[in-house]
Amino acid sequence: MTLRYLGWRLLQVVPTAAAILLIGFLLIHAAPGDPVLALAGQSGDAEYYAFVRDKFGLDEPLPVQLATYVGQVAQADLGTSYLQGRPVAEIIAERIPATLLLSVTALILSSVGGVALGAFAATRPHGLRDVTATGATLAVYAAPVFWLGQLAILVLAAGLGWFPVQGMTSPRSDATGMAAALDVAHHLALPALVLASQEIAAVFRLTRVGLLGELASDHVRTARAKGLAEWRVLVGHALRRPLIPVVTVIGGRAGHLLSGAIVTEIVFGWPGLGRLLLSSLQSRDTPVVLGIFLVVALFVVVANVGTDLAYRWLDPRVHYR
Amino acid sequence: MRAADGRAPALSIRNLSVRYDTVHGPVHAVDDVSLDVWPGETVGLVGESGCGKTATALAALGLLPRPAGRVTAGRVLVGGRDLLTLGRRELQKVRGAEVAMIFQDPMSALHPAQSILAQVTEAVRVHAVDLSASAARERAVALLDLVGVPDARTRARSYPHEWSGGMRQRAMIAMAVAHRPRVLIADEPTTALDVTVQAQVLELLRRLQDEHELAIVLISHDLGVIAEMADRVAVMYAGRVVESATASALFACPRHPYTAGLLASLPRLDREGGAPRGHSRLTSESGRPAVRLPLPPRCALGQDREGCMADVPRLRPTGGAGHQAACHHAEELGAGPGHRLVEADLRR
Amino acid sequence: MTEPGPTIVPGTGEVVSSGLEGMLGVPRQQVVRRLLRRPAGLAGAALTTLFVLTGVLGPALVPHDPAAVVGPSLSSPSLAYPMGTDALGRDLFSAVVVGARTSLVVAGLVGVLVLTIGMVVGTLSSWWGGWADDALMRLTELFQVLPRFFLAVVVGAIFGSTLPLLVLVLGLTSWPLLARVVRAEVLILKQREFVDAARVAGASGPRLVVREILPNALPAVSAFLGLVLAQVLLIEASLGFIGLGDPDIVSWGYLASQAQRFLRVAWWMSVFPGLAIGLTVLGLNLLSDAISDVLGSSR
Repeated sequence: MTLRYLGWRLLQVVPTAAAILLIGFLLIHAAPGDPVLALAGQSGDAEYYAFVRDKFGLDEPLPVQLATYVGQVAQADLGTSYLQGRPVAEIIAERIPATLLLSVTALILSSVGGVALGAFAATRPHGLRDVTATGATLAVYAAPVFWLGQLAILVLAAGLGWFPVQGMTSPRSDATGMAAALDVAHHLALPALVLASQEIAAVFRLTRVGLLGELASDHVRTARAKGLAEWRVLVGHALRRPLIPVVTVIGGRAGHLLSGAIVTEIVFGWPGLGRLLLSSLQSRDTPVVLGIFLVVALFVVVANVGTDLAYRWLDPRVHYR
Repeated sequence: MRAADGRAPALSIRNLSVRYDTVHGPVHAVDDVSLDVWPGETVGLVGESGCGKTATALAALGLLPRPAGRVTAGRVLVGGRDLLTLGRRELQKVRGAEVAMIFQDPMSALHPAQSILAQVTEAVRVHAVDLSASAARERAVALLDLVGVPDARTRARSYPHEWSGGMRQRAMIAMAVAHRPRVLIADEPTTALDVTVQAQVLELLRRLQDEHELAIVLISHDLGVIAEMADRVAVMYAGRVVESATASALFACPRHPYTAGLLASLPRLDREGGAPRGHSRLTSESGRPAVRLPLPPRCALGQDREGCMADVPRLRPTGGAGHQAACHHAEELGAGPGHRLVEADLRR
Repeated sequence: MTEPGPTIVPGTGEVVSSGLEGMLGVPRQQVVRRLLRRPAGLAGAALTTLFVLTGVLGPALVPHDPAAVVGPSLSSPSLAYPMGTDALGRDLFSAVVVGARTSLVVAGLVGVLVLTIGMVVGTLSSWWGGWADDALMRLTELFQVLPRFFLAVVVGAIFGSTLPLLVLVLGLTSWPLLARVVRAEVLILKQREFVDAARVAGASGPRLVVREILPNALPAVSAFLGLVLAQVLLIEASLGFIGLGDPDIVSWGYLASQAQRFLRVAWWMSVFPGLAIGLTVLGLNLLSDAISDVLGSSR
């Protein structure tokens, strides 16, 4: 990976990020009523509105306003929540860890699970396990994530009682240290599994197809002819190339993962961005909703670039421009 | 040379049969094939594509594509053991250690996203597990040196696509001889290479053979390569060995019409027009599996097919010195003058 | 979206191939016949047909007005109420059947928008080439990284959640995949002999595109359209679930959101609307896969 390529690729983020900010800006101005309402919320006093108006330059010409807006966002100023009377950035930042915990757990589960399932199916193509795994992932892939969550609650949490139904921690629990971590893990298991299931389907399909090709390839035959044990042929040779597109698919689905996380959080009462989004929607707290959009969109852009760089690093044959 | 000193063959394939399940139904890719290779000897396995040469080799090492191909009968004896009865673990110990194999296209046979060094090192470590990583790398570099890769230490860090075809095949050979196997199966090792590189790779194989008493099974459709390398030759057609003899006897005096046809289809410089005479040239069957008939579609002798279909000729001794052919008229063919070729014609 | 997808070189955003080239010249009836011979194709076609028929005829067939209180509240599925009733005693079966129309309308209108934009952008991009191609592909990339779900949420929050607005947002953001597929197809088709023949015969550029190239790209495009619409339906359902559906219209996502509060007492309120969405999306996915399969294997 040349530094020049790295710089060039990072430079490409700029127009995309600019476009996303422009969309945010346009939405504020296209909103019914005074744009200040979209930045400061519905129920401020006149003095506060004047302050926000001044800060975002709302009395200036539009191009100046745009520049001011971009400047404010760059300083992580996303306006003020009308409900909580606090900076939006602060409120969002509080919720990010919970969402990140859920998403990253799901990401790990789905990558490992999807690849393992793909390998499980591809080593006996068209056998019973292949057909079962393919059918199951097709079904899961088509199911809406909130429905999977509801079913999981119905069967595994409310029905069998294996998992807690709602939340991130047990109510009235004063556990600390290890016990607290285990409590969170117990709450995390089901939502993470539900969120992961859709990604598992995507990773599974890609792994399976790639692996089917690789297992019949000449270089895998060479690996076998060397005398390598079958699992080493699989892990060291056959899986290597299929993993590359899997990495890109995982990165390319960052937006999908996050929207899934939002919905999953709502189903399971997980205290992350999803819960925040829902309560902001219900109380018409537009600055927060807009802030979440900006944060997520910029994150997705970064994730895409990261994926792209990872791809080039993984495949030595890709040429840099 | 063969069995003269009373040694056992390094590889002995006995009555091997292989079946492929295809969309068009089962195909007998290999049908009752027997083959012995003594230490230090090269046996050429000749035939058109689809005749079962490669299937024979893959079956010997348990590398048939699954689940389509499987062995239905026979034994593959190496060092007194039948490889076909070995468990997966024991077979893995034989592969690459006692019997090694190299393939036609060294580009696709190497992992595209792993450095050559990593791949050769891996071959070293498979059967030398207590070797340290750095010692294995040293050994890998030494092997690459041995097979004539110039400046091996630095170049080995490159990837297959950065090497030439000849160098890639040398890397394959380096992996194959890492554990001084008794037997090397070389499946069309030079087909993907151009002529000068081809000669160098063959020369390398000969050198390694001399140094290690290596038994080589050389699979090729190229009679020139076979003539240059093989001590003995087995000709396969439609999954069967139709003729087997010492190289000199086979080229001088083929005793099966199919072999005669193969030889006659070679371009000859001393013949008018350069083109072979039409009547003994084989109809080309490339692009689809060979017709699974016991006989070529057209017999070079002009014998009636019904006779041979009714009484399928079996491989039998004819002409002495271990010469065998599966033809009722082998003696007539051997006596006839028309197919005599001077071995030197075949050398390039 | 996963396989089958266009082969896209990451970073460059280049569609190398749609994975379907070469299906040209296969008579359309033959494609349909081969499609229905595959179990996946048959199941996909059956589910999709069921969805469309329910969407078209549903409101005329249902036993009750989905908004009317017709029975006891939260009664479990029975002969009288095959899918049970909700908290107000409304018939869930009627609501699920009527909800199909909402999904069908969304899928249909978004489909039209996506097809139109995708075809225009893809065709112009490949036909013009050069810097125009670059610019259009940059634009496509931009729309591709834009998180559709979140954009729809913001728009819903600011302008209110109405069906036309939802269709507009999803339509305006879901076209990039189709634009890439069309672009790749046209690039290949441009070099085909029959296009040359038409050109020699004096056909003009636009005429060539509309008469010769686009109809031939249609099978490949339809396979990807199915995948896109399946995603759109899932997003629409999720929006309905978090309360951003059109409040005046019964939709499957809205029904599922109603179920959340009664999950422990009325499983049917969750199971049936979700099943309807799942089967519809499954049908579209299976059908798309089968189309790609048929087209891909007939090269």
